[in-house]
Amino acid sequence: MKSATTIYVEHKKNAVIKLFGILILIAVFFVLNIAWGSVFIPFSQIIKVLSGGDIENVSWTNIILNTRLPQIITSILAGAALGLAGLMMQTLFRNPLAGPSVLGVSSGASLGVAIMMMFITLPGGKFIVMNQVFGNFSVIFSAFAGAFAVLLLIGVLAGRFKSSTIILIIGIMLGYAISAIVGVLQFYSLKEDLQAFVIWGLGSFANVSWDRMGFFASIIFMGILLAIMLAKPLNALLFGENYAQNLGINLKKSRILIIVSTGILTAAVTAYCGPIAFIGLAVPHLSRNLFKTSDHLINIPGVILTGALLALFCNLIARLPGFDGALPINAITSIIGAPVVIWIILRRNEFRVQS
Amino acid sequence: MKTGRNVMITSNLGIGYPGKVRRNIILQNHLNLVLKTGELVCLLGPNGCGKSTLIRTLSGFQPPLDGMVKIFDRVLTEMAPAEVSRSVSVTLTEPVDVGNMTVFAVVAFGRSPYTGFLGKLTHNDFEIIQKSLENAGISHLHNRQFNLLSDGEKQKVMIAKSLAQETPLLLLDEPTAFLDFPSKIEILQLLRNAAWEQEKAILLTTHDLNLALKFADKIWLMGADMPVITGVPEDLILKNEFGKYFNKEKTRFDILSGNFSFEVKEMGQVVLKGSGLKYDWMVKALQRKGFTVFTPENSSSDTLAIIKVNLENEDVFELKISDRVYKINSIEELFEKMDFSV
Repeated sequence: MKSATTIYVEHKKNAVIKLFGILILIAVFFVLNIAWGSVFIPFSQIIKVLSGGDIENVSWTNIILNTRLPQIITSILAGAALGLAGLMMQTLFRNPLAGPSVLGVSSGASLGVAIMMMFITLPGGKFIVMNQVFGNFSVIFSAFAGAFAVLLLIGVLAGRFKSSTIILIIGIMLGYAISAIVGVLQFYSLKEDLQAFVIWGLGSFANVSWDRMGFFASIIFMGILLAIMLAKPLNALLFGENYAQNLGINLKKSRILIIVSTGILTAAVTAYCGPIAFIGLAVPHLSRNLFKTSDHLINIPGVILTGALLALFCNLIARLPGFDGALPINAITSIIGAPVVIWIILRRNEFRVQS
Repeated sequence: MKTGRNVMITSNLGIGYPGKVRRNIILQNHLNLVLKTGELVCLLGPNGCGKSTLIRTLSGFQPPLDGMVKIFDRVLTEMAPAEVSRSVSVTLTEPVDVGNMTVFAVVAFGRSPYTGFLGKLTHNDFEIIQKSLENAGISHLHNRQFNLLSDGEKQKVMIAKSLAQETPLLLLDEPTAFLDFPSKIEILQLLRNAAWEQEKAILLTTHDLNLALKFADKIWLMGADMPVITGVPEDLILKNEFGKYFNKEKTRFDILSGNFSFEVKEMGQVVLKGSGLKYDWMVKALQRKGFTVFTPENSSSDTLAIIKVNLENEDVFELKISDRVYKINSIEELFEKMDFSV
């Protein structure tokens, strides 16, 4: 008979095998994302371009290297970041409906962008041109400014209150209040500005160019690194705050670090890709369901990979040939995310009415 | 039996909640209590007197309002969280929902105070976890989902987690609440074993007075506006301390049985003849209904009925009311007859 320890260790090994499985799927979707789009590029040509060779069709090289590849890397980073942010929020607030947006950070980012787009007129007129909404330095800067203003406020409050629930309530209320202000700004803004803002709000993975990628990626890596260091406090928090404290966790410090890490990840994604809905909420559920555990040592790599995979999948759907160009990514994430969450909840027997 | 070492001492401890501006809400004051190794202590007292607050204060969840708590000569409020987690483990009343996790994984988190920042378990950790599962009597549950266990099993898992934490002091807030009677006994037995065999100091709060009297090495009695008194259960009974702490208008602590009795409407007097097990239970049944029971020797004139517990015929009681005699098979039937006749 196998000992209890052996079985426990086997569970962990199975999880690692599953993680490798997802990694392979990511590779598959990586290639599909390069191949598919308004133009189909054959597999053999992709290999050639990626390995640094030359192909006859120069425009294909350009599409692969300057359009599709940065978009894929942006999807992977954003998906991983949002999944991780959602996981941390769901654990900290012990609430399955929490996501990266509950802290009000993404609302803060949208307020920053709204103010910049609709209020600030620079000499020489508006400088936001419609096809330049994303990737525009001023948009990114104002999104970060708004997000970090809210993060600072929440961070200060987190140190002052004993209960996480209060922070959750404040974050959600802050989100409502900011949305209202954004609404007022929209009401008084010009038609063109408004349209630019609406397009920003629909989100896109397509607009992080290579020269911005370095900064975007390093911020996300910072957030991920911080989250990995928080695996143990996050695990302890599964038992509730009192038990966590009794397991030797410094509650106040852990809580602030969790909020900072979530804030950094959410702020970066919102600044570069717009407010992406649903991935942050759905991915932790997917991961916990797939690995059949709530252990964060497994779920942190779990959500990073599942999030990347789901984002790649959504990105692929958004650019399917029939859709001509690209559908707004937020439409796809919500259309896919909502059924995923419902399906997961229905699968769990405890929620079913006994018949 | 050797006497234990002092694990925890409180000196002049005041517990309660800090109030707005000036006025603190003080539940208990001037507590000078000692917990020793190898001792199972039950903390008894009515609701709202501060039992849970004491547990929370001793766990370091809330600061003392006055005085201090010392664990092995270290002041609790000055200890780092990691140090506290290796000295005191707590089992709380709040329900635990850890999502998807096996029993083994839950108990493994008891090792958190000793593991590195990623929580990697060593060979030694695994041995301690298996031992804790064994001591809590739940080795067979190791691969079951924690969330699908019964309340009693969950409680045992949380105790195993506490044992895996390897602290000299275990605090438990109402570990037997909401459990069925056999589970309550199992929990208390396993805690007593931990105290006696592993030299732990264990403090638990409970409302199960009867079980506390049977299992506790010492009892702490707490009441609102009354000082906490401590002692061996039987000493406290003989000094009639339980009466002082628990007597309300309609309940009385019976010093003979170590039980509570409840005031009922006086129904009258009956004479009961016989002996044995059936006799004893008949006395209890009659008292519960409010009858005063007399033996034939000291009966008075205004007896309502005479009941004879038949020794020759095993199944039959004999009831005599106003010169009519009934043969009766059960106590239920007897009460029906008496209702009808009296």
